[in-house]
Amino acid sequence: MNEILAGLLALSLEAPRYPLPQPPPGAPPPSGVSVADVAYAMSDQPRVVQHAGTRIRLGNRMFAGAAVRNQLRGLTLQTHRLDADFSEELRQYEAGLSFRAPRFRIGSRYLDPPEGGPHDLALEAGARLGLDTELTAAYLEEGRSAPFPSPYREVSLRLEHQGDDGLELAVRGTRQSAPSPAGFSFNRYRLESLAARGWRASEVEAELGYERTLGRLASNEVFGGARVRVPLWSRLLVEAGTRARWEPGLAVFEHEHSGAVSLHARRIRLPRTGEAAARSIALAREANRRGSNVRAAHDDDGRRALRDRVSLSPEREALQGWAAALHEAQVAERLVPLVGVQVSGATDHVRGARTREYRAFVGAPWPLGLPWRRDEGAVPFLRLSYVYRETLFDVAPATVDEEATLEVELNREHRLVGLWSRPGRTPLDLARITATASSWRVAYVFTRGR
Amino acid sequence: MLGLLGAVAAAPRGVLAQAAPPPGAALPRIPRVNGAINIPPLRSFDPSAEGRPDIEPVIVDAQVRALYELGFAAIRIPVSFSRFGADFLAAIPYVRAARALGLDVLALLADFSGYDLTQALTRPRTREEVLRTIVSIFGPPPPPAGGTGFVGGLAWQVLNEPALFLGISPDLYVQELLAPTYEELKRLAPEIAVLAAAEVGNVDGIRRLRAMQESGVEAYCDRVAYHVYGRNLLPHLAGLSRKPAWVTESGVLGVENHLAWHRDTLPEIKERIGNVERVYYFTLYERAARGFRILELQAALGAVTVRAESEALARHLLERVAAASGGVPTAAYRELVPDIRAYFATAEDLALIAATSYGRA
Repeated sequence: MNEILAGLLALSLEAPRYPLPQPPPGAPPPSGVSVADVAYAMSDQPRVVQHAGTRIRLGNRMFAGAAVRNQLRGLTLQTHRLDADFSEELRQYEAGLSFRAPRFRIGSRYLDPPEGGPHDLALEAGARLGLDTELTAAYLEEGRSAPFPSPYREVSLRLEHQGDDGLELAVRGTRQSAPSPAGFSFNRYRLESLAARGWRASEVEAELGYERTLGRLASNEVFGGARVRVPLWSRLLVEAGTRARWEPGLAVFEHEHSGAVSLHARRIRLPRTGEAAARSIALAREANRRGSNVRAAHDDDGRRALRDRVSLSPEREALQGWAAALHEAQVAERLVPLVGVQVSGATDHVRGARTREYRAFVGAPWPLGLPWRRDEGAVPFLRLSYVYRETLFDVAPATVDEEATLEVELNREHRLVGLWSRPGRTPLDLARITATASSWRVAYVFTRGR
Repeated sequence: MLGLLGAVAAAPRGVLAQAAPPPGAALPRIPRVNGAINIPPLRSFDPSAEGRPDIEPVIVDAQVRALYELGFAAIRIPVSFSRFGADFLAAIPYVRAARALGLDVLALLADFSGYDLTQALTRPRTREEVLRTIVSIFGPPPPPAGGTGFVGGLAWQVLNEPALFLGISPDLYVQELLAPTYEELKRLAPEIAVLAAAEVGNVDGIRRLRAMQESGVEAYCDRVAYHVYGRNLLPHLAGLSRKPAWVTESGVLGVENHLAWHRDTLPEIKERIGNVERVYYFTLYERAARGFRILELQAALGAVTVRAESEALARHLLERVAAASGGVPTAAYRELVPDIRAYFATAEDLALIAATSYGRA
């Protein structure tokens, strides 16, 4: 009996398998020069466009990257404290630079359009008030050509707190100064709050905000939304969401509702509820104690970026165990969806449009098995998804968009993605007599340490 | 003579009786004291005529006559592009006859359905061609009816409720359609005012109008336009625009409510919004019965019978006309417009159309 139990335990702890071999999760980053990311994509939209990008790890000092997409050329550089990027596309230049110290960070982004057009500028400064708390101030200026009287300007202040159980609380105040081509500007103030956390096996997200526009376009608007994800019977995930925007005393201008249900091959652990959520906040706290000035993340890409950042830290050896634990939990809790549907509907009274969207997917895990069979060792392998979206108008013809995606995970780090989409003709397309055509995209993506 | 005029004959004379004009002098026209109204360029009662070029003069004549005799000062009428088809041609006599009778005309450039006009307006070559033809046909003032008196003015309105009828959002309407059309119209006829489209006259329209303002609608029009089908909209429209506004549609469902709306609410709209120059009542006629229309028109053996479906409002309008006339005899419609066909499209109009790419096609 003990042997049987030991065998079952070993089976449950077995690392997930893939068609291609791969390094185990939590392995330390390779020393010397190594490839961290490779992406190549080719699409027809309507002419063939190629996109290639790579990111190289240079020892424990930095990541350096380069990307080409059609006419765009870009370079990136990341160290523990510094992030920089530069790109050029048809003589439009964009540069970003940011620096983070243990208690504060500053960043900027500048976009210089061709032929002396008005520039865009973004500045950001953050002060770390605690291991889990940051106060951020930001300034944004978007250039506007004549007849606009001035650029669009926005200043904001954001207080964000992260905590256990995937907790995230944020309050953001914004002041916008928006110009109109008619020669006047108006001010808009917005206060919004966001909250998210895991609760038992479920996740809840909510937002609530108030927006006040002054001057001749005066209005008082309220917006709010909530989203809940609840696993049932360990492998069935039910999701529901709603969002609305209205002006008290006048009308509801926008609302959207969605619902989804999906069946998974193994026990569902949502990003804010499992071990990975705890590991993510633990790594962020430990890194912040050691002066990294980072925030926790509750999605795969964000967690990988967090691990990458701390791996460049002078304290990387002390943090390696924390990062490895996060990676292992992240991999162990990754969802393996088998089949699912989602229905969502939205109404936008300003556009006069009602949108209905239907999504469906089927997935095959690896090792291949019957979709209703539980397999705690399964990993994502194939997934075919389809989206049908129709936008209805009161009088104008409906617009129908379709999209299908096939994704193949050869292993955790190597993926192939094929996408086909057929956008419908919008009313503006009808007015402009522009045709729409179906397009496709194929991509290969290598993501070390995913 | 329209049956409506029986009410005029029976109406009490004005308190300020005026002397009759000297013998031989032309009688004055009926005073234009009842504001502005929407009118459809109806050309046939037969629904199957939509695909045919029929324009029945008796229908045009009956509506123009009603406008004159009810004392309206201005009309708003759709000039449906329809690739210069029958609906376009049908608008010509309405516009010319109304102007000849001294009524101001707001020509609504909009198709009843489809995207022919918007397609023409989004491309520079067809935009110039279509607008030049429209300006050439509608722009020149007709001779005054009866040989004397003034001629009504003309203004353009670029499309109608674009989010509702075309599915085009307010910002795209301003940038893609209104701005280039305004510039072209002002280049072709700088003296003719251009109005932006109004949006639907309920609470949805408020947000759309604000979105238009954000997109700079006032840079591309001489007047902004609103539609008001509820008094609850008035506080939200007050102060919305810096340029003068015309309420190009306002009305209420149900004939029993028409009189109060026209008599009390139209002035209230002007007063509470503040910068409203004109309010166009909706509508003189539409097919749906007992909704918004004042008149019921019916075909009768090659003629048209006209009945005041909105009796209380029609009587109110006629009483105002009678009171304003002060007992002075006024020119009969038939004396001013002996034959409505004089205002129909001419050979020159058809030649202008034939010279366009649409005419050649």
